[in-house]
Amino acid sequence: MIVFDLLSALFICMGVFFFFASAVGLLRFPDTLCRMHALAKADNLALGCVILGAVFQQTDPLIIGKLLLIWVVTLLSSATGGFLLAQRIRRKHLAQQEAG
Amino acid sequence: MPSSALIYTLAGIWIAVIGLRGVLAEEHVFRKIVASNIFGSGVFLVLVALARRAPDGPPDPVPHGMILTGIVVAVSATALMLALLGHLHDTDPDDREDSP
Amino acid sequence: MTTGLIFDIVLAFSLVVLAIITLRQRTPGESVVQLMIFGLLLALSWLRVDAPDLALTEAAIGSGVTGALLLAALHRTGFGTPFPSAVSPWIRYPVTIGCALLGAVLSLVVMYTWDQPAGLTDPAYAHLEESGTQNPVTAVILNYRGYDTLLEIGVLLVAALSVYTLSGPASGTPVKPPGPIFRFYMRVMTPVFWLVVPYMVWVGGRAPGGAFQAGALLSGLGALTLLGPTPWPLRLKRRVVRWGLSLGFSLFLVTAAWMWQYGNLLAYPTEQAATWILLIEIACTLSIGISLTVMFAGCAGWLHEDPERAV
Repeated sequence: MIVFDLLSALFICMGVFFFFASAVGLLRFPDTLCRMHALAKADNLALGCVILGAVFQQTDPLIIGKLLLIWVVTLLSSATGGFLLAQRIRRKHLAQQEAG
Repeated sequence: MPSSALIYTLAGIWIAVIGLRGVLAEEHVFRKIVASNIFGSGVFLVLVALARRAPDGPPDPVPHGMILTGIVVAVSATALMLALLGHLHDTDPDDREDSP
Repeated sequence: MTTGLIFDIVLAFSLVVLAIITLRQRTPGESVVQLMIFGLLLALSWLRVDAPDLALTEAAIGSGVTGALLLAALHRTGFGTPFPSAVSPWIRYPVTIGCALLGAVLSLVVMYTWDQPAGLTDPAYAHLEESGTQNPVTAVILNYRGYDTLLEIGVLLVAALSVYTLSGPASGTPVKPPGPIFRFYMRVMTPVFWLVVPYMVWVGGRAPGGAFQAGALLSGLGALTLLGPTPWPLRLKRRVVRWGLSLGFSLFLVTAAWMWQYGNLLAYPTEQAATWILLIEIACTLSIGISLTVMFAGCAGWLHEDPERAV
């Protein structure tokens, strides 16, 4: 159906825009913590939009489920990884503050 | 009009050559290991693009099988190189010019 | 000039540029990250040439496991010190010029011989029904070219054993114990891993997938498990590790020898081919997963560090 094609195109374009914005943020933000904020947009929002666009092209519920599973697993992984990275940075800052 | 397979074959050749130059001309051992990975990846790209020479029909599965084997062997080699590097570091950690 | 071709040109050019950039990074950590990015874009390019199995394997093993191994080695030998200055120009320039000439010659050879007849596609697809599987790549690696896979598992075993030999006493700074967030992540993801791994092995019979991708996933689970204290049932005992390492290679050898009675080594009879292939795939998945986990632990210096955590 043409509606689904239009929705897919719309969501994939949005996803591409958010990926691009996130890449710009990754390159331009001054600090690692800020860059992780930009990365979160890529993993959550941009990937979600692209997968939603792909979902509108599918009719098989199993495939739709697998696509959404990809998104959920990526959300979990990026959140955990971002937290671990931020924790390490904070510990390093604290150690530097104590040292000097 | 070149086919996409030809473009990827040429790109693979140049990637392999860049990796080869890195293996030969870089002094630091870790960079050599990274360069050897790039060399291997370039060779794989050449093989997989050559498997796609016929523009229609399925791709040639035999190079695909060879590359699958090659990826595992490449990671084994990388692991062995890194284990050797770590062992070198353990036995002679300080004042080595190529300790990372 | 279709859009696909434009995409391919841009991607191929980006790959070459990325390869150069990876070798010009200043610290080891940066070059590892660039290598992982390069591997992922390479997987994307393999998807463009209709090689989804390979794209999966490259993303998992070539980018993921290799990046994890490199980072583990950096953990063992110290992070972040910048690379020293380059090698002398007397070596650098001739090597660069020589490699550029080699690249130019090979490019010309490829462009002039591009229109040669195709490879082994037709024979491979002609015998697909009798090979025991519907995935042509699985048929190639486990049936037509079974010897290659047999020896490759052997190479993996030798490399894992060598990593065991080369991991000395405790080295590197110990990893801080993980907090509740990582423990929650592991609690959620471990069952997901254990569901996806057999699914990958099973679906490899008819769609992209198979033993190598599943083994890489299993090694990812192993590496994650090693990063934090896990409850006892998930911690590997040494006996399990030893059996797991040798299971793939031994089963393959036993199969090859068993087939002697039918004529050649490793020539499955047609009606049993699917069963044998599945058995070998399961054994190889376990082997690959445990071998790659052992290699990760060895590169990180964790193999003999602590009896509680030792693999």
